[in-house]
Amino acid sequence: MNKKVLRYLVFILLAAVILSIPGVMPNNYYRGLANLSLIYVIVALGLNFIYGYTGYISFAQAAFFGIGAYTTALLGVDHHISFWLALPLSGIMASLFGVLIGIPSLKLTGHYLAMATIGFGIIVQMLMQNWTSFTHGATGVGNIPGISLGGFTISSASQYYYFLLFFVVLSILVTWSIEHSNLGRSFKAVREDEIAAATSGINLTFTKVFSFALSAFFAGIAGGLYASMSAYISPDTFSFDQSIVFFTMVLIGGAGTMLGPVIGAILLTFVPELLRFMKEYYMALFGIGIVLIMIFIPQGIVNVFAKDGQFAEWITAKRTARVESPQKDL
Amino acid sequence: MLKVSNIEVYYGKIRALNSVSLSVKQGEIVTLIGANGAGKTTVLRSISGLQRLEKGKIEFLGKDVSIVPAENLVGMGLAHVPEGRRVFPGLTVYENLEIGATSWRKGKACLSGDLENIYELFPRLKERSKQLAWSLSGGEQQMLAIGRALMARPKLLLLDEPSLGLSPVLVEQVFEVLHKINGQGVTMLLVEQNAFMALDIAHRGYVIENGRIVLTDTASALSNDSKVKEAYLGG
Repeated sequence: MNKKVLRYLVFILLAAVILSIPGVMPNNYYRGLANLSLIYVIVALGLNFIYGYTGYISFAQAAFFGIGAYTTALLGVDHHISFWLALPLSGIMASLFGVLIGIPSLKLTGHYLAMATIGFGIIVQMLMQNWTSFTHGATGVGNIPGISLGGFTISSASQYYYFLLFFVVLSILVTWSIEHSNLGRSFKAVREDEIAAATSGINLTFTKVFSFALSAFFAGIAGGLYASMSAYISPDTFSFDQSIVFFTMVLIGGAGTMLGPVIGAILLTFVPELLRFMKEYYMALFGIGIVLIMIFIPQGIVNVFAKDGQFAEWITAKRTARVESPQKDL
Repeated sequence: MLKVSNIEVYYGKIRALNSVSLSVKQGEIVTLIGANGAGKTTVLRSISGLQRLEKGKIEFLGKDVSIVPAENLVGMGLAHVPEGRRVFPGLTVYENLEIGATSWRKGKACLSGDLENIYELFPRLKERSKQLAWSLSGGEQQMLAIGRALMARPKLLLLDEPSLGLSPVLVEQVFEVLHKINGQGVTMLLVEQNAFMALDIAHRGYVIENGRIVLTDTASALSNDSKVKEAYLGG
C-alpha cells in the first residue's frame, strides 16, 4: 500500500516538473532548447525501433528527419497546404524512404548496412543543397507557416512546449504498445538471431522493412514539427553529424528500452549547452564525457536504474565482448 | 508426410548434396546419421527452407514446398530446431517460447495450454521462465530450443544434433523427452552424430556420406550392420 502511494507521488511530482518546465526556464533560448529536445525525443524513439529493438544500425535518421521537415515546409510554402495535412504526409514520405533503406538490410548487415545508410544520408543532403528549383537550395526554406488549432495560433515557445509534449506522450504510448505486441517481439527476435526468428515463423523481410519504415516515420513526423516550429529550415541541419548525435542519444540513454532514448535525447540536447561556460573546450569535454559513459555504463543510463538488472547485464556482456557473438553464417 | 526426392545443393561451386532422397511417414522417428561435414545439416536446412535447392523436389503433406520460405513452412506444421540451439539470448525463457507461437497466434491468444505441456516436459524451463536465455546452461538452452519449436504446434519436428555439447546424462534426458513428444503424435527427423542414441529411439535411419545417402534400413537393422557399427558406433 505504502509503495503504491509512493509510486503515485513520484508520478505526480514528475508530471508537475515536466509541466512546469516552460515556467522554470530562465529565458526563451532555454525554452527553445526544451522544445528541440522534445522533437529529438521523437526521433530517438524512432531510431530505437531499428537499433534498439531490431538490432540494425541506421545513420540515416537525420535524412529522414530532413525529408519530414522539407515535406512540411515545401507543402506549406509552395503549395499552401495546411500543417495538419502536411504533418502525416511528412511521416509517410519519410517512411517510404525508410522502406527504400530497409530493402538493402535484407542482404547487408553490420558495417555494410551502416555504410549504405551513411551514403543515403549524404545523397539526401546533397539534393537538399543542390536541387534548388525544388528545395530552394542551400539558402533553405523560410516563412514556413505556423500551426493553428481551431482558430488558435500557436505562437509562444511555452505553447509549443505543450503542443510538442502531446506528440512525445503519443510516441511513448505507440512505442509501449508495439513493444508489447507480436510485432515488438518479432523485432527483438530478429535482433537476437535471424535464423532462429525465421524458423520460428517470423517473416524477416516484412519485419526488417517495417522496422525501418516505422523509425523513419517517427523521424519524419519530428521533422514536420521542427519545420513548423522553427519557420525556417536549411540543409546543413540534416547532416551526417546529426545522425551520429541521434545514434548517441539512443546508445547513451539505453537502446532497446522505452525510456532510454527519451533520457538520452534530453541529456544530449542540454548538456552541451550547460558546458558552454568552458568556451572552446566544451565540445572536447562533452566528447570525453560520452567516452566515459560508454566505458563505464555500456548498457545505457536507464539500465543502471533498472529494477531487474538482467537485461543490463546481458547488454554489458555483449558490448564489452564478454560473450561470443552468435554465429551469423550458418 | 515428408518426401525428399533427388535434391542437390551447392555452396558456391562445391556440391554439398548429391541426389539425396529420403522420406518420413506420419508418426515415425527417422534419423539421419553421418560424420562431420557429410551434409546432415544441409539436408535439414534444405527441408526447412533455409537453403536454396539446385535440383530436386521436397514435398510436405502432399504439397511441393521446394521454394517455400522457412517462415511459411512453420505455419504448415514443420518446425526446425537448428544446430547449436540458437535460442534468443537477450530474451527471457518465456519470451523465447512466446515467439515460438508466432506462426499461429493472433493478437493476444492464450498460450497457457501449450506452455503447460512444455513445462511438464521440461520442468526446468518453468523454474527459469523469467531468466534471460543466455544465462541458461547448455542443456537448458537445448530444452528451450525444443520447447520453442513445439510452441509452433508442429506436425513434423526437424532436430539438428540435439546432443551437441551436452553431458551424457543430459543427452539421455533430452532423448527421453523426444520419445515422449513422439508419443504425443509429433513426427521427427533427427540428425545426429551420436548414432548410438539416435538409433535407439528411431524407427528407421539413413546413413549419409559425402553428401550421398549410402544406406537405409530400420533402426535395429542399422544398429547391427557391421559397417555402421565400425564407422559410427565405435566397433
